[in-house]
Amino acid sequence: MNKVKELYDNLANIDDLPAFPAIAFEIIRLTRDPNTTSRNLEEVIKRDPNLVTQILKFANSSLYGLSREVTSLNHAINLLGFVQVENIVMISVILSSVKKLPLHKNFNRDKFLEHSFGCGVTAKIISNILNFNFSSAEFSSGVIHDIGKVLLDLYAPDCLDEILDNAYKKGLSFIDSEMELYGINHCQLGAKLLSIWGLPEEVIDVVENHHSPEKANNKLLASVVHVADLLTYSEGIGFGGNYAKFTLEEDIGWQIIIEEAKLKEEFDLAYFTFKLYEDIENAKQLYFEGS
Amino acid sequence: MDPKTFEELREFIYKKSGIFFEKSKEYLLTNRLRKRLKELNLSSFEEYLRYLKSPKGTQELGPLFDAITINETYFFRHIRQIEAFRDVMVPELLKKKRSINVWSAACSTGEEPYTLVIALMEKYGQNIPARILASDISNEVLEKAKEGIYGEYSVKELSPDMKRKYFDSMGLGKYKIKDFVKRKVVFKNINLLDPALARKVGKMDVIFCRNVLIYFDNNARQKVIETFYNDILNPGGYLVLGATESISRLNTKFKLCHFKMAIAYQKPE
Ligand SMILES: C[S@@+](CC[C@H](N)C(=O)[O-])C[C@H]1O[C@@H](n2cnc3c(N)ncnc32)[C@H](O)[C@@H]1O
Repeated sequence: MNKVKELYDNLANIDDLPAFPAIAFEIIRLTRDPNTTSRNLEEVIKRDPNLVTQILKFANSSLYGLSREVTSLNHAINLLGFVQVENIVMISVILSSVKKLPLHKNFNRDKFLEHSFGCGVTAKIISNILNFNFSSAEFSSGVIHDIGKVLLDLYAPDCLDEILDNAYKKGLSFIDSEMELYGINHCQLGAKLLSIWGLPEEVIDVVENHHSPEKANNKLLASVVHVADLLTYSEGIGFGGNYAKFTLEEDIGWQIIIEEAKLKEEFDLAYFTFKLYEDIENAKQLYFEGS
Repeated sequence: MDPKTFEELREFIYKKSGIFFEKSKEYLLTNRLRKRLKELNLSSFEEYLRYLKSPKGTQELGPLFDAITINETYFFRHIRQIEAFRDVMVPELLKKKRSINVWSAACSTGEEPYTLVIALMEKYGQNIPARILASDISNEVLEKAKEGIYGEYSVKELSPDMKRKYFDSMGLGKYKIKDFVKRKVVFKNINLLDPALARKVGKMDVIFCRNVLIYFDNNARQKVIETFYNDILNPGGYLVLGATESISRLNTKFKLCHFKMAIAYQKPE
């Protein structure tokens, strides 16, 4: 048996597996309990100043298009709604746990975070432009879609090297390279971790199928994240040149979006792209240059 | 201008010209059109939009396009497109032949074709695997291009290092393009609407036709695009338009390709 397969099979038994913080569980439990008030939620969130900052930052970002500045946590919770608060919490928890990991040399943490976050933002922008309503699940699944790569880096760094080398030499994508070498990919690894963590099925489904949206339960959601991933370019990790150019119209995820959203006739891909780039530029300034 | 009016106006502009007007340039549009509103005795942008959409509105397209054209050019304008050219298109085309033909189809004062040369030299050294043709309808700009002397504005995107490498500083904020760059570009006077266009240009692998189609009406635009496709571009060749320009409303067999934060059109193999 190869090392990646071993990792996959024994994932639940690894002692130092990154944990999902208790506070996040508490928040997820609360947001899903119909008796919870925004005050209850506020009480819990307040214990983590980092989360408070994040939530306010999102409430004030152009993604949510609120016009007045939001300064109180309670106000932010009410404006964003419980579902979005849950998503924001999940994102910041995951981002900060990745930040704490002792990552290995081939793994460019900043690029990884930038790509992860960029994918989430782009997914959100796509559904904003196309008027989809996923209550932000596209955002959180976008941010954690590649979490399986973190596992590779933590527990099978040699394999990660091999995968990258192989991808580079043969001009393969990351996923084709890992399938060729080990027969298990980062999507499967990531999905397994998330189910060990007990995260919502919806998110696990997307992570598992972000390279095969046609197999997902929620095809549209998986496709949005898939296309966002394409548009965000996995620079610095698993590049192999494969994302340097693509034809969106020929992409399976894009075809699902067109189909499911009934965009066919009058849809102008160039116009869509210009809007997308414009929003991505703005989001970049907001989240990367500004911080 | 309220956001909804802006959104409608830019959609209107896009449908008429293929130009996507960016939010970040809204102030420009507002400033330039305010004068127009006064001349037409209109009191709001909503009214102006209604006028544009009315039967009489067609006469207003000229002044509207004047207001949105940003008649400028500089080195490494829209760097994402230049990167896509250098890092993706050229290596891909070079898999099939040893040297390619590139055309800057409205080169103005030369910044664009020289940029292409410099970009390629950064990657391939002075012996670039490309021949560059640059043309424009105006002799005045062509003379300036051949002279190759530029002010600060033109070189604003270049690092001091790049300036040193490819220009001789003449003092007083003037930069002269070095000979080894200049020699790589052939300048010609060519009108894109000339019926003999294809014969004058020959076969090309990449066409840069940025920020010029806006000066043409739909018919002329369609004709130019068809000539590019049918008579000038080799199979697999690329057409690069302005960064926020599209021909998707025209009837064309070009395939839209996405690069890193840039698009281009490709003639299928
Ligand atoms: C805004 S400049 C574009 C410069 C450069 N391509 C860029 O994007 O930075 C437009 C140029 O198009 C030229 N032009 C206008 N009509 C033309 C025509 N029919 N044929 C060729 N060039 C034309 C003008 O002389 C002018 O130099």
